[in-house]
Amino acid sequence: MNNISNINPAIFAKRKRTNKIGLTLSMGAMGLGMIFLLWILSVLVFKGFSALDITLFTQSTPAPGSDGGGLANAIVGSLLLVGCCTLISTPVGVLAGLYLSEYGDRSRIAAITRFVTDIMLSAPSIVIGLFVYAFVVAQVRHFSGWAGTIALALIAIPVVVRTTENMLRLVPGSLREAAYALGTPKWKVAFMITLPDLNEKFIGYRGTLWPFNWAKLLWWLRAPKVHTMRVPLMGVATHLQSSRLASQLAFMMIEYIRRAAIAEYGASRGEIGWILEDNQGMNAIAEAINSHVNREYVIYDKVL
Amino acid sequence: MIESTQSHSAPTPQALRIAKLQRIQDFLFHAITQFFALSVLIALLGIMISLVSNAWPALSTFGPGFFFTQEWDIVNGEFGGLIAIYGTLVTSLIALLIAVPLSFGIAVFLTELCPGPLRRPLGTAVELLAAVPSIIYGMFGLFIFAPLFAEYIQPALAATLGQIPGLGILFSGAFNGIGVLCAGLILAMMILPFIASVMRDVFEIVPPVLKESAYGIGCTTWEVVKNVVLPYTKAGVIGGVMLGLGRALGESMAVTFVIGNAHRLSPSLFAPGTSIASTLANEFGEAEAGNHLSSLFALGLALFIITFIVLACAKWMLNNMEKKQGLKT
Repeated sequence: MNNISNINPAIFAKRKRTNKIGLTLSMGAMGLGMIFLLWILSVLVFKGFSALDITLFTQSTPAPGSDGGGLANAIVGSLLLVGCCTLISTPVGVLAGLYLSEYGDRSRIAAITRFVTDIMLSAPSIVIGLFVYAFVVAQVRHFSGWAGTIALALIAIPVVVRTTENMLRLVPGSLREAAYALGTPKWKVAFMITLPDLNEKFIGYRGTLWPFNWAKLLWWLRAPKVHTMRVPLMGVATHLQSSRLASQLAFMMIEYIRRAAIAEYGASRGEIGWILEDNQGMNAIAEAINSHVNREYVIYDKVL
Repeated sequence: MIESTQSHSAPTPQALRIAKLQRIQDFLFHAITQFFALSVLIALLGIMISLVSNAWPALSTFGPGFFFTQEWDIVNGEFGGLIAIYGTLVTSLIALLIAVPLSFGIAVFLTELCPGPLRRPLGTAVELLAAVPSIIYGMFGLFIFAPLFAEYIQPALAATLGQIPGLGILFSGAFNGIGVLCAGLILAMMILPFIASVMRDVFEIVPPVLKESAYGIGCTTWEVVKNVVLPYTKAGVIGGVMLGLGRALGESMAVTFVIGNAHRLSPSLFAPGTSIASTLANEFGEAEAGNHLSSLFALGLALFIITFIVLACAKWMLNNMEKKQGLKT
């Protein structure tokens, strides 16, 4: 109580006022943004809806002045352009991104390429259009879909490159180094598949997906939270299996995936799947991480 | 044990074969990825070289003065880029002045104030605004926004801000609707969702512990945003603003619709003007080879240089901040 009487009421009121003004303005900004969005969408829908019919998709654009027709040519053209652009930009972008993330730390070429992709990312699309005009259209002397595809690919490639690189950099460096130490080629590492256990959810659905539970399941799968994770498969490259570091690799995978499972799925329990009794390596790993056997299956066989 | 010592002292033929195969695969992997990384590099160098070589005739005819003269006379073949460069810079500046505070407000609302269940739908709505193609903004601006702008907002601006001496000249002239100010407003609408979604994303990564400890000592929400969230995320915020600025500088279609496309330098923001991107979009198709086409390339070069400077400034600012932070701690 004593503390509160010590507060300077003028300052207190001023702080509260600033807070109120700031938050009101922020709410106003959100309102304004929403108004713009609804405005644009409603204009699009109300003005465009009347022109929407089946001929829009089935007929080509007519000559100016005549009635009827549709936009089939424009729609097909867009699809072709985007399709070809994806075919070109995906391999180029992904491979260039791979280079930047795997070899990029000590190579000068990579440093320059990274800087250049940054510039290309921010380069205005119309400048790229100018380039394609000068290099393609002016050389072959006519406009073409290929020129459009090349321009689109040039816009898309830097985005693919940077995204690929950023994603690959998420792979922990120690995993990568462990693989190098074992003499693994750069594209071949151990793997482990871990899936959230859907059975928990199926109990709630009483085991049926029909009529609406499949939709519920799909919706839930966007951001699943489960208690149990299952590991149906894990493996280390064949030529490494006999080496002593194989188990190290397995432990590292288990540890990283355990962390991810807890952080992203809220898991508290994991099942590492079926292990044959005579698979000493896997049994040793399972024992080392303090797991315990919760089910035993017996296989009976009989000569027929 | 015995096996492993053996394999260390004398590799088996099988191991050697695998090693050889792997070395070849590794080499191919390196070569292929490097090839594609280099092709990206070469593409950009190609852009620069083609811009400079195509712009060269105009630059050599008009000299460096090309960037500072306002003549743009297609009939007599006199070209200068000042009006377009001025239009580009002014519309982008207007867009930034409006969009940055608004998107800051939206980001604060989405991360601090918004009730939980509404957070996702409202965030998605903002991103939806970013997914609207620019040509739709242009059509919206020309057919819907500009008439309303001319009828209500321009007279109001002229009556209030236009009366202030000195500042008034910016808001004088006829109420056409389309013009530099209108282009700036449409651009602001376009870049708002980009900046807002970047800001929201970076605001969300502030560790809750930091915010909670500020709340714990009695900070108001506003003080938490100002003294904890903003300093923690300033690099991301600047990145978002630069992303928006880059988009505003290079936007062609939306601006072409609403800026009026007049090669006239006017102090008033109500007057029609032009920007580099809209000049290119308008005139490139009809330009004849020679000084006109080459001048358009020179404008493209100017735009490229402007975006490059913006990017370099952003990087420099971020580096500086990191260095300062390093000194403090």
